[in-house]
Amino acid sequence: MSATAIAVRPPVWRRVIGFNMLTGLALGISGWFLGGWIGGQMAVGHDYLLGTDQNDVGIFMGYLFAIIGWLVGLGFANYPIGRLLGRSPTLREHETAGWTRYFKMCTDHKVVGIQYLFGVGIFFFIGGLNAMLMRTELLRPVERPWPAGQYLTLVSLHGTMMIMMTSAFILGPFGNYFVPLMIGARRMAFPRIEALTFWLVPAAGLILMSAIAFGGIATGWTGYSPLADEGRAGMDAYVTAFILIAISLTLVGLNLLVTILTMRAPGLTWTRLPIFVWGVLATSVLMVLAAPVLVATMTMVLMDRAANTSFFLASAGGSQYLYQNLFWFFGHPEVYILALPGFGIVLEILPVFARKPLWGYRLAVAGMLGVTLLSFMVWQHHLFVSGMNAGLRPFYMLTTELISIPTGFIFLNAIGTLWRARIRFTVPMLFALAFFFNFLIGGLSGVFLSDVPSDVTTHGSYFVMAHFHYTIMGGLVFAFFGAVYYWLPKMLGVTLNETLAKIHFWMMFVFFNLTFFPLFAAGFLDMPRRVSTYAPHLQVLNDFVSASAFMLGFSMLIFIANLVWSLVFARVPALANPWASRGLEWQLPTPVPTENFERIPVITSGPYEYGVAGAPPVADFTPAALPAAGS
Amino acid sequence: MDTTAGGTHIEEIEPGDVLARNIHLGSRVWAASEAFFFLAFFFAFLYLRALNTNGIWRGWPHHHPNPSLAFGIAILICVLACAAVARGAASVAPAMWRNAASVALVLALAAVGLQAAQFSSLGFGPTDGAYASVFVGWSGLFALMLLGTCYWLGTVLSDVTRAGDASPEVRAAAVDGVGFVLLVLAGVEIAAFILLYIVK
Ligand code: HEM
Ligand SMILES: [Cu+2]
Repeated sequence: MSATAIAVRPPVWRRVIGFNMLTGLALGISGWFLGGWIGGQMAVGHDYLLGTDQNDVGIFMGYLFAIIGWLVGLGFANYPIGRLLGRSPTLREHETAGWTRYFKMCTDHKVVGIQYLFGVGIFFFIGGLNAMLMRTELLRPVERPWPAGQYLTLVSLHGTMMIMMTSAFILGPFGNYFVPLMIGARRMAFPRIEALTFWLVPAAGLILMSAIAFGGIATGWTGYSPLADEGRAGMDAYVTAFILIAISLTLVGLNLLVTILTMRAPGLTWTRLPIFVWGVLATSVLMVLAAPVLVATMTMVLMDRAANTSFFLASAGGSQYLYQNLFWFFGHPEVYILALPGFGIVLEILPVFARKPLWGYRLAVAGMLGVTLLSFMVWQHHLFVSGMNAGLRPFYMLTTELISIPTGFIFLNAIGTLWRARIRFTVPMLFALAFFFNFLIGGLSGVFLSDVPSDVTTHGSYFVMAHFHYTIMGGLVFAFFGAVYYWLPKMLGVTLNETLAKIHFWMMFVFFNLTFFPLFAAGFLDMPRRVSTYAPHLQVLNDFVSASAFMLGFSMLIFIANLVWSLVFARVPALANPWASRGLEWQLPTPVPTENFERIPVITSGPYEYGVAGAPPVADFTPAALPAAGS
Repeated sequence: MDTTAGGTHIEEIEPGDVLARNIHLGSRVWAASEAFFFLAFFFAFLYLRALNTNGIWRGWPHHHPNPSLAFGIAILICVLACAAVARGAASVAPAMWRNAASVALVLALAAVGLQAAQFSSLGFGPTDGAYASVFVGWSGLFALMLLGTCYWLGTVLSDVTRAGDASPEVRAAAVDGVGFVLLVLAGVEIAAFILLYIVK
């Protein structure tokens, strides 16, 4: 994988010692105990802190010190301290350290992208295992094999893990890896921040999972108060994990936004910007504005739990509606943080395999920016049946239905691009096409939910479950796999086995629909979310769904098998541009050199001019006037 | 210290003006993120005050939290002066940057210190109703943010003091950036002062 030859190789034991993941783990675990002890000391003498049978201060302090230990162990404190002591600013660290750079703080955006791919992938898989356990419970209408409370914790862990990981699913691996390559830059604007955003993710994932040891999470992924204020210490894990992820998302957005705005190669005008980069740009705007609100909201929960404030406790002057408003002021933009990168990817993939220019480029950009703007104005549709002021309902119903218009633009782009095209049905293309099929169902069911009269009957039921799985899994996760099959040859330098890939696709597509489509019916038949039991006459339906879900889970194993096979055993080297794509990233050699571009290219034409007679190449790679790397 | 295998200086990689533009824009985006962070507290204040659930927005009967106005004004002045000095620094000659950054740093640290002092003699606690919650949360987290910005000021100070390797553009961008963020924080502090000390 590594392009750089390592001159002197120190012995393995020497490379294990130092600032890396192992040290981070060791210091993190020590920090947990140290913080817990400090927290215990802090609570002494404050009877309001000791008012409950658990010391939340101790737990939060434990997490805080664990996080600090983790980051210090990884080496994140060195540079900031050095800067205060007068070290001059640098941009790069550990970029040429061989395979060990994947296990430490590394500022090469390509390494960070691969770290994200595997890091997020592992936690995504764990979230998927939770889903398998839940579907096992739902095989029978009674509380077997797990009692209701444990089922609820499974639901919460699955939902929270999935939302946390899928928020970073595309921008993490592909945004970090490909945006600089697609805009002709050698790095991201803030490389250390970039490394930080990744290393916060495993910390958040592990902390969330620690909730199992502290009584679980009773609230589902939405963490509504007052249940969140009352819940066992597992809630502390939820709060801490979400704060970490939200900080990470804010910084991811900041970094990508600045990179795209300031570091484009000469000639890369706004109308030549790849559509994926536009998607990333729009998502970044949402991230830098919405995620801080989540940090603030979760901090309020933290204070309610640890310092006995009463932000969300009506009995002491607060309000649980405040929580719902703040959470969804973040939460709805979050929905588009999940959707927009997916739009970007499928529109990026379609022209390559339709061999036609992207139809309605400007429309697509307008659609994405329109969604970005509107998504801050719809959040109260999540409160339709919470007892909101009835006079507000029509407004939020209207804005929500309005937002489906710019979303619909994406479908127009797809139809226009596919019209009379000679389509190459490669695996990335199959995933992109499946995205449109699934997202159409997800989007149309969303219109039912945005409509107050029908939401009143479907809210809190499996209809909602089916809706958001269609948009997130059917949309984002399918787009993710499209991106994986499209870009992995460039990232990892190997070709994936196509037969296995096609089996993966067809199984995933068929069983995804067989799993989630019946859940619309379950919702209409009044099956509620987050409950481990259901009416006995729904058992046939549920057993069918569970069986499909297991097959869906199995399709993921095929993907993993393919990855391992292609990466470890077969190792068929990938061509530099196997798809004959015009994308700038594909014009680079595989593996991509550390500096990316020997010279910063000058962009000479748009990326989608497929089949356009006389279209110039995308870029001039040897412009005489521009400086070479390291000069 | 963990030195870099490929530890290259910025100048070797790219012209300093790219980094300067990054810092310029990055500081604007970061300021927007901070503003949205405090927007949550702004909203919480107005929302909980308007709802006045169970009539205990302002605390339990006969026990209304009243933070000391003197502290409030002192903190406000420190923050405003800090922002003015830091922001003003961008428009004066680089020779003055060192003094400006030092003064701004002292003022910011003073504001944090005053906030800590106020907390230690508050006369009420986080359990005293919704207003008390918003007060403690907002002012506490504001002080924390300010402390974080002090770190940035510290690096700016160390850069302009040594006049070392950072290119002049980069140093100017850092002075400008931290000044802008402090300006936005000053705006937040004005809102906090009006709501938490006057409107209540
Ligand atoms: C194999 C695939 C999956 C299966 C079989 C599955 C199944 C389930 C089930 C059974 C529930 C709980 C329903 C309830 O009792 O309320 C659930 C909830 C949820 N799932 Fe999935 N899921 C899958 C994939 C995903 C993915 C990919 C995501 C997101 C990216 C996701 C996000 C969620 C969320 C947010 C919840 C709501 C949790 C809550 O109510 O708080 N799921 N899923
Ligand atoms: Cu929404």
